[in-house]
Amino acid sequence: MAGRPKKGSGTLAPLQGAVMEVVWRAGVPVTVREVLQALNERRAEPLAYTTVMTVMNRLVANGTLVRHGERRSFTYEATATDAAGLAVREVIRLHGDAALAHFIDEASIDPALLERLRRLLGERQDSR
Amino acid sequence: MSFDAASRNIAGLLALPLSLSAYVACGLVSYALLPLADTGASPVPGANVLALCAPFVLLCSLVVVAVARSLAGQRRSAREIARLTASRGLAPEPRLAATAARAGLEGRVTVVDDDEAFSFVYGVRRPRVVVSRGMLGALSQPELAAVLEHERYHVAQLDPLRAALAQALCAGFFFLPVLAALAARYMTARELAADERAAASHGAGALAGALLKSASAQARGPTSGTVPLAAPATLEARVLRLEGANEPRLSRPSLSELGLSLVGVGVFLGAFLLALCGLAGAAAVGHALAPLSVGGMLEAVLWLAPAICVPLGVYWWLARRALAGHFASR
Repeated sequence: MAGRPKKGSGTLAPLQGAVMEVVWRAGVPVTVREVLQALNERRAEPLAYTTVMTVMNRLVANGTLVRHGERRSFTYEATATDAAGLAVREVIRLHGDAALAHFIDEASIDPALLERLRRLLGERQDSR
Repeated sequence: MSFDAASRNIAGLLALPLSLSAYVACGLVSYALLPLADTGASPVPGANVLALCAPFVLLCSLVVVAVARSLAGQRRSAREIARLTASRGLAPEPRLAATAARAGLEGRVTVVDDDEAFSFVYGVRRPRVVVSRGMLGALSQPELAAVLEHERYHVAQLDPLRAALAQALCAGFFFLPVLAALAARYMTARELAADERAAASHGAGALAGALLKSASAQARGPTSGTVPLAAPATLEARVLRLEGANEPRLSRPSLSELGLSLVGVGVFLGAFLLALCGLAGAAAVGHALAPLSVGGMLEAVLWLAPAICVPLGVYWWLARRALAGHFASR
């Protein structure tokens, strides 16, 4: 991919990419305020808190970030360790409707189903 | 090959668009083109003929464009994924390489560097299996063997190709929403068949464990990708099957899908008859409507049967050959 530097850096929109860089650099769960400060240190035109919050919520929605904690004290963490790790999932997600057969392919998973699978496994171990 | 759920649904999925196309093609040839050739009438149509034909021509071009767009989009996506696995793929570690070789997938498995547990098959002509590093780390040896056996069934059956064609068909005949429901049922049935293989060779426990680990990973980090063919009930049907249900009931097409499809068929045939009226006059429309009588219906079935049975026969023959060829080479 040497000839395509842009492609390799992932498919995130520029601001999403900048947010993810801050999150990855931190290495620990961060708040929106912390990300905002880090981003604005290097910007001529400061970003608004709500802009960064919107971007981060979008990243949560597409599974790139996970959110912990309670309202007003949310912290955010990356699901992949770096851009390379993210891009694999991101590309597959983007092209999920291609000619693929996934091992599991569900938009959302019912926790009750997981419980049933666990019970199935339990029964097998008991009967042994 | 038994007439299982997948066969029934692919039969429906192919029969609807095929019979519609065959009817329209027969009608155009016998009532418009042949008489036109016989009488040697002027090939330059008048303005009112153009107006009468316009809706039908528009619909047909929409179908062609939608099929082409769907195929091109899938091709683009498949290339992107191939490039990704080529550039980011790792060679399988010894445990995986040995398991893959035992499953008859030697040289066809790539590992991608991702913490999330997932696995899939891609590639139309020569399918390959991709397993994530997270998946490898999570699975025990029997579970890994079960996953590879499951994926191997998709490889042997060229399931990515089937998915691509089903999707293109749904995109093309957009006015028949029931096709999407049939395609979803079809893909679910394919998953059940692949599970069957995996459970038969490595035990239902190994398969259940692999499903649990992969599903828990997805439940934690939802992949919000739009996968039109993913029936929400697929995992449920697979769990039901593991729980011992003989043939888990698949989600049925909804009443609105059926109703809208009927309207869609009506609009398409209306446009066709309008075009026929413009090309060959009202008498031809009367002829074309003849299949609506009882005798005509029987005759139409006789005429349409080969148009449906031949492609279905070819489909089954190819599937059988692919399966036999792959599993014999073990």
